[in-house]
Amino acid sequence: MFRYLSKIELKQSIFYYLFLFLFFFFWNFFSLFIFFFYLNIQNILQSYEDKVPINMLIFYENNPLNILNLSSEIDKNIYVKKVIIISPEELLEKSKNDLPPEILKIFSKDEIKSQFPYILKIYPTSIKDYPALRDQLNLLTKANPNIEILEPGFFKLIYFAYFFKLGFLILAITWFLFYLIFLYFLNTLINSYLKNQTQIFLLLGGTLKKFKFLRFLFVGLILITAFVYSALVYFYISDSISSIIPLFKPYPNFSKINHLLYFGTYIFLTVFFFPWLTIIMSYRKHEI
Amino acid sequence: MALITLQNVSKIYPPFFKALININLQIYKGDFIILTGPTGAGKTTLLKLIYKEEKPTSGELFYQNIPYSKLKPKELSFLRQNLGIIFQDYKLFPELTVYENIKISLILSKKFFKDAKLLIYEYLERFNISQKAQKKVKELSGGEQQKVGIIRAIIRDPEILIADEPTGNLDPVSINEILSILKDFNKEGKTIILATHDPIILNQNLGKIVKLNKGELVEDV
Repeated sequence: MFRYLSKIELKQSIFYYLFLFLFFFFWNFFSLFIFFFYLNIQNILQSYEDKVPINMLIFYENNPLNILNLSSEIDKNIYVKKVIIISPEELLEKSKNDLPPEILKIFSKDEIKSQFPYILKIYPTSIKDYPALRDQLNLLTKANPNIEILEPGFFKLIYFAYFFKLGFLILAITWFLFYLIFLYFLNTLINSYLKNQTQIFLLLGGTLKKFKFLRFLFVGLILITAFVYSALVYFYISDSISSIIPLFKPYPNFSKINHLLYFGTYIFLTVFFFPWLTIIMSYRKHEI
Repeated sequence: MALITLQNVSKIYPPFFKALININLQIYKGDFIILTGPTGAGKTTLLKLIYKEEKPTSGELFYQNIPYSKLKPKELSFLRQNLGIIFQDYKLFPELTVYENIKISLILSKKFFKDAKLLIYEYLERFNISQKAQKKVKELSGGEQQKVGIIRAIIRDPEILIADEPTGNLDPVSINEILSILKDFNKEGKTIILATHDPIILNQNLGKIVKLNKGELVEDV
């Protein structure tokens, strides 16, 4: 029986199955990459969230009390988590080895120190508060030409990463809905293409169970094949990225049990459970 | 107890076409019912209601006193396994061969046939199309397709045989062959419901004539 039904199903809808293969190859490939970027971004954020300050440089200030007052004023700002003061002495100590030896010979320690600024390392409460805090601090630089603001060069990347993390859920849900709608649409299309044959089969005393099972078998096989191919391509590319950019790690890490568990759940849901659900839903109105 | 009962059955196709109006009919085991009437009288619709391709707009059909509307998919499947249906539009699987089309019907009837292949070829010989057994149905002529449809229905030895204009595309020899099969079937106590307006069949006094006109039952002889 299944041999004949397979013949009916495949001869009429082979084109749709090829389409399904291509769709799932790319969908799965991009899904894995979305996770790859999300998890790596989370890692980077965890490493840098508390370590990215705005540096305020105060030149030609000899009175440490003024610096302390300024620091405590800044510390009261709602966007500020903490302020660390680095004095010219500390700065000189830290940069001693980096200074050319000639300078150390020509100028005295006090002369060099007088050219060094006080640095206030200002840590924002959260990365999202960074721009607001920077704007407020910039007002100070306008009022006093001896004050300069420095921000880390890679800040924009971290700021983008923060919002990507926030938008991840929306992106993941939209991406997943796209997959579900596509699967349902494809099944409905095949059903309508095979409607006459299905009706004949039912009128001869058959049930839809066999058709549903057969569809699941074909869809499952196609999805497994597409999954294997796209996962291989993904692993190859993600490994290459990870070896080029040391901040990135390949995901999933198969030596970790929870990674294996999540990956297994992902496969179960996308290759087995949701396809089965969409097949059942697509056959709802086919009983006669 | 009637095998099939139609109780005040009406069928209206949207928006307003009344295909059947308030039909009451009882079909007993062993009956040979000949549904007749002009084109558009509602013969095919009545048959479609019996094998439940269509649902009535109002009224109810009963299979051995069980309302059709209460039949579960499994029971409905069981009912259809006991039917042999010859469709007016053949309803064959175009991508399958003649042999496969008939084999599917045999498998679905869930009856045990000792040598299905031999049986299928016997019938194909009888209808003179055994040389087409491995041809795809879509490659056959209308008359040949009709023969395949007839074999598919009768080979499963059904309790009830429903035939909708089974002789439409056939030559006189084949018509006589079918009529003799139908008579033999009926002699074995099987129920036959035949829709036709073929005078050759009507004149043979095969059984009870039920005449329809514009969806109404006008004569029940």
